[in-house]
Amino acid sequence: MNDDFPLTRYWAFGLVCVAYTLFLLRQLVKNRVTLQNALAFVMTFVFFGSVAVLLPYFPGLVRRLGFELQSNLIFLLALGALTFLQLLTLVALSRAEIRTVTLTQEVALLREELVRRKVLAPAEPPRSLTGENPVVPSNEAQSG
Amino acid sequence: MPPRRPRLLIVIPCLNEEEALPKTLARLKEHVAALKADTEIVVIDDGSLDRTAHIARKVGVRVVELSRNLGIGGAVQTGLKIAQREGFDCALQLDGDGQHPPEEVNKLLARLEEKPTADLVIGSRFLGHDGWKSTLMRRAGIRWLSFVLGLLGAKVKDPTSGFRIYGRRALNIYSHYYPYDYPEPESIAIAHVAGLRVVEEPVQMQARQGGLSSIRGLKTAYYMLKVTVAVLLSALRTDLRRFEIE
Repeated sequence: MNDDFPLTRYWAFGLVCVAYTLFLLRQLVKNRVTLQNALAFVMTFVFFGSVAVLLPYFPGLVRRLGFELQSNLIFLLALGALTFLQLLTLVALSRAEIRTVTLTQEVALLREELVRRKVLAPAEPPRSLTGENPVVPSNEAQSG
Repeated sequence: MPPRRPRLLIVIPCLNEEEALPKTLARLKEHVAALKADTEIVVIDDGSLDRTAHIARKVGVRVVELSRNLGIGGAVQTGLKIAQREGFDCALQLDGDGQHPPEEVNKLLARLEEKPTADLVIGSRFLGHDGWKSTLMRRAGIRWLSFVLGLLGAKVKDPTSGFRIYGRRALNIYSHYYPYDYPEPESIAIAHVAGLRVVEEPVQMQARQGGLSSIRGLKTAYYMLKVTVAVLLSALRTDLRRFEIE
């Protein structure tokens, strides 16, 4: 590799960031993750991808911040970003846990209420796909 | 006109208690008539894998089945929500493993109504001299938690006791805020911070009739750490101070 062409120094790291970002965007498009929870991750990967590509153009800035190597700065930023992302995940997880507990309690209370009021009628026979006639077991259908 | 008898809901949180529950319920039903309250019993089945709910239903008490295990706090809170929503005057928490003798319930009830009225009455093993007092290690842990609660200003000798009766104001706050994990000491801290009156009444307890305690082995260290931190953090909770209890 040619050292006069700094773009090549952290290209692998930049590519990983791009790959992660694309993967996350795909998950978002498919509605597998929510934007409010994924936004911080997307921004982090975009930021680190940009840093990996652009940082070699600013060697003076890295030294002024007190780092001998550019990779040390990236490493430190990455640690900070990971801690931040972990914190956001923790908040989201705790909220989800509280909601799950509340929902489980409310469902159980509603079920008990239904049972007590005898609203739960005896199970009806399954309906046909058209929803018009109950499905009759084949032997009964033949005999009837 | 005679004074109105209070409406009491007895909440029995259970997890895999098919062994001890029949005896507990039979003993409780024997004593319900002697209670100075109009009483209903509800068993909260906390996601048991055995026949706990089936057994309770056969006895003829109300049964609420949680679809997954929420822990003792989640189960107790479910019962307290019923009491709060259905207008009960108070709710009694009673373990399904037979540790809490129903003969002592009237003492707790009387203490709840004594003036000045209490909001939470805790049945304490350590105020009296008789009865089962737990193992030496557990007693040391209980002393520590009692000390930590004392730092907040809450004077309680038996903070881990699950034999307790909740008044109307306590039901109002606990149906919103009740710890899910190892809840007893933290719930006292919550009560204290929210301005509830917590008192203790000496009771006799018995060793569990079946099943195993969830706090054993390495979990003991986690329990002590978690509960200590939770109690201390309660002192900083402004939402509890702002809560409209009435």
